[in-house]
Parts: sequence; structure tokens; C-alpha cells
Amino acid sequence: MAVILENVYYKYDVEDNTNIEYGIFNINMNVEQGKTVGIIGKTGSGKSTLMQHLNALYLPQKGKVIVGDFIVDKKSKDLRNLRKKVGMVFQYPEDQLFEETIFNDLAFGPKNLGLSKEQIEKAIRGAMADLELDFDSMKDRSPYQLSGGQKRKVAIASVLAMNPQILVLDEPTAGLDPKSKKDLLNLLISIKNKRNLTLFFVSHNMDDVFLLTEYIYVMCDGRIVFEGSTEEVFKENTKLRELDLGVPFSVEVLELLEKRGMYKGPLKPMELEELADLLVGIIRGKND
Amino acid sequence: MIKDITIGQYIYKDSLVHKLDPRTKILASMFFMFGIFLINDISEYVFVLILSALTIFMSQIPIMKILKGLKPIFPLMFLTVIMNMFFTQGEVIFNWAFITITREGVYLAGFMGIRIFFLIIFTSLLTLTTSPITLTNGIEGLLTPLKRFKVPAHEIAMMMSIALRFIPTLIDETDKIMKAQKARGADFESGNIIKRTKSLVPILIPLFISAFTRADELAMAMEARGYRGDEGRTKFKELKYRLTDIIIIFIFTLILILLFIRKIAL
Repeated sequence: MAVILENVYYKYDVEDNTNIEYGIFNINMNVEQGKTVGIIGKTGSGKSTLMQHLNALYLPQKGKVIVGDFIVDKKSKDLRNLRKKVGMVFQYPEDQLFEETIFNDLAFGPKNLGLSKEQIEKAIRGAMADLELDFDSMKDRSPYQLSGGQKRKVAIASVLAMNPQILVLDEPTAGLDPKSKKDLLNLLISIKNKRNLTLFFVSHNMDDVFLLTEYIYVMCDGRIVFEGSTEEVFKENTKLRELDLGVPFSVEVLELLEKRGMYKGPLKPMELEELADLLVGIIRGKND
Repeated sequence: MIKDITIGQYIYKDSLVHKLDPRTKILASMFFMFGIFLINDISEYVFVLILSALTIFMSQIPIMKILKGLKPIFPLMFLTVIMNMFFTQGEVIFNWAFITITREGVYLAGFMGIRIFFLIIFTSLLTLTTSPITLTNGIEGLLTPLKRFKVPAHEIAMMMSIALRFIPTLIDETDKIMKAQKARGADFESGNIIKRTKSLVPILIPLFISAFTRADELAMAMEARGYRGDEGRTKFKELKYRLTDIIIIFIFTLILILLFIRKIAL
């Protein structure tokens, strides 16, 4: 499903004297089916507000959000069909778990959609398999007995069990240990490909964003300040720093090498393997 | 959506009322409340009105802010007035179908309305001019003499201030969980009362769990910083009665006594 935002505007009612406007202003986005899009920006830049427009938790005060055939504007009603299509994984999604067993928790979403018993079980099996959770051994356990990383996976599975076509992830790896984090990111990539999802990824970790996304929107003070393919955006290292954002590790390394006169080339983000090859090249070149 | 709730909306001003000792303000408010229920005479209410107006003026709180506090109480006030008007026995002055209004009913309804009005005005003035922390400090101060009778004054005050402190946090948390469940297709608005009550389970359970976790963490953090209850604990802001406090308490006590004497004499 494609997602289009046209001049979306949402302002919060905040009674204070800071003269700062909170919300999002004149947001335009056009995301094709199957794309993976990153949204970056410092805390309070409007990322979460924007994300919550994608499944109509907020209705735009002006403009419209078009998700597939759904057109959401300020008067939209009956949003359940839209929420079925757009899966939303909030920050620390394990906080939403509430049922006695993992099975029941995963069944909450599909049940709300009115699926039959067989359909529910099938959806849960699929979601658990996608997150490498063993259905038979885990379905009757309490979600509260799990480790942090497992809990996170169950919470994400509970969203996937609704078989969404669009998945919105808000800092899905926050607070996880390095291994769980890496595992989860790899799982997310394979889930995205397997289910042919359109993926929205919000994160402060630029390496994760680089790894996962093809296209990035950069937000500041409720506006999209610039956008472009992932590679293009991360080349703008000074611009990103001005916005209190970072750059991927590889770009940082290249910057430092450039400063020391060891590297003269584009500051493009790359995976660690590629970076290692480049460094080997530099070392060899120097030794010659 | 649920962020509109405001409790103890303290407004900072550099006024005489703000500077009073919280104990004075609590005591004065209590005396005032007793007082208005002793009054049975319009002329005395004029005096109460002047007293309230003077206090509000001295507190520098905008009058609109105080009147705003009346809004949620309005239905209750209205109900009380109506009930008193229609269901009081006495000399009939109006009779139509099953509706009977008596002279006594009108009087009582009027008095009740006025009493609730002043009650709310004065209590909201108390919370508007006293920060929650100072207020709980004041309550602790007033309860301290009762320690001799094993009243856990410090603990009560500590519990109150922690509860107040965590109201906004819990509201945020509720908001977040509600959204997460809505995104999973939960519906909190439609259906009959039983269905709607049931739909709260997915909010309440995570909320309880996080509240308990938070309480646990807070308790540990407090212990780590050496908290061991009341004993040996010193205060950053010592409560101290000043001359103005003594004068205010004297005035309010005097008013209460005079009203009492008048009531008995009549």
C-alpha cells in the first residue's frame, strides 16, 4: 500500500508562554508500496505525531492522509479498517502486553478485527514464526515471564498478527542489549521482505536507519526540512549535525580520516565490511 | 484527550496570600468552611463575600481562574439547589401539577447554592496559592501533634506528595497505552456499559503493572538516597509562623467564634 500525505497540519493546544509551536506543519510525503522509509529528527521534532497520523490516531486538522484507498481528513470516521492495514509499534511496545498468555495477547488484535478462530490461530502462528518465537512452547506462557528482548518480540508479533500491510516502527530497538538489537533488526528486514510491507522506521540510531531504509525524511520543529535517498541524506553530515543529529559510524570514521589527510573521497555511508576494505586499501597504499 | 484534567493548578504570584504559612491557609480555610455553614442570614453572606473578594484581591490570582474552577462543580450545585427547592416542606408559594415550591425551600436552596459557591471559591484559592509540596508540608505540620496518638503524619504527607507528583506521569502513561491498544483495533467508545467497562481491561492491567514497577523503583531510589522515614529527617523549608499568620488565624478564629455565639444567641 502506498502512503501519501498532502499538506498535513496538526497543532497541539499548549498553554504556555514559550512561543514554540508544537505539532506538525505542512507535511508532504509520498511513499510507494514496499518502500522502507526512515524518519529522523531530534526529540520533539514531531516524528511521533507524524507517525500517529498514519493510522489515524490523530486526524489531520488540515490536509489529508491517503493510505491505499483510505482518505483520512479531519472528519474521518470508522477508522478500524484503516488500523487493520497499518500496524503500529510504539516505543517500548512491551508496555501494552496485558493478557495471561502470549497466545491471548497476540489474539487481541485479530479478535478486534473480527476474525474467526482458525484465522486467528493462523495469523498468530505466522506472526510468531516471523519473529522466531516457537508457537508450541510459548503460546501458554505468560508474557511477563519473558526476557526484555523476547517481550519486545512478542509485542511486535502482536501487531504483525493483524496482518498489516504497512508497519510503523517507533524506536523498535530502544533499550535492548546489542545482540537482541542486531537480531531484531535482521528479523525486521526479513519480515519486511517476506510480507512485502511498506515500512516506516523512526530512530535516533543512524546506523540502524542506514541499515534498514532506502529513503529518509529529516524533521525539525514539526517540519520536514529535507529528504532524499538514504545515501544522499547521510552525505549531508554538516547539515545533520546542525540539526543535532548524528551520522552513521562509517561516515564519522571517514570524516576523521579526511581531517588527518588520509582520505579524499565522498563521505558516503557504508556497511562495516566495505569500510574495512576501504581502510585496508588506505593502509596498503601508505605502506607502498 | 485526558490531559485536560488539572489538579492543584498552582499559580505562582508574589502575594501576601502565597507567602502565608500553609498551615495558616489550611486552618483558615477550615474555619471559613465551618463558618459558612453556620450562617443563616443574607447580611452575613455579604460580609463573607467581602472577605472572599478581599482575599482574592490580595492573592493576585485572576478572578476568571477561580471562577473556572466552579465549572465542574456546577451540575452538583444545580442539583442541590433543585433538590432543596422542590423537596422542602413548608408554606406553599407555588403549586402546579406535582411541582410544589415552598418559601422555606427557596430559602434553603438559595443558602445551599451560596454555601457551595463560597466553599469551592475558597478551596480553589487554597490550591491556587499553595504548591502541592507546600500543601502536603502544611498537612504534615498540622498532623504532627497527632503523632502522640500513633497517627503516621509524615507517612501520610509523603504518600500524598508522591501521589500528586505521579498524576501527570500516569496520565501520560494511560494516553500511551490507550493509543497502543487502539492501534491494535481496540474500541473504547461503542457498545453498552458492560462492553465498555470490559474494554478498559487492556488499559488498566498495563497501567497497574507499570505503576507497581515505578513504585518499586522509587522505593529503591529513596532507600539508596538514605530515606528512612520521619526520624532524623530535616527540612529544606522549615515551616514557621510569622506575625501575619498569627493575625490571620486570630481573625478567622474570632469570626468563627462570633458566628457561633450569634447562632446560639438566636
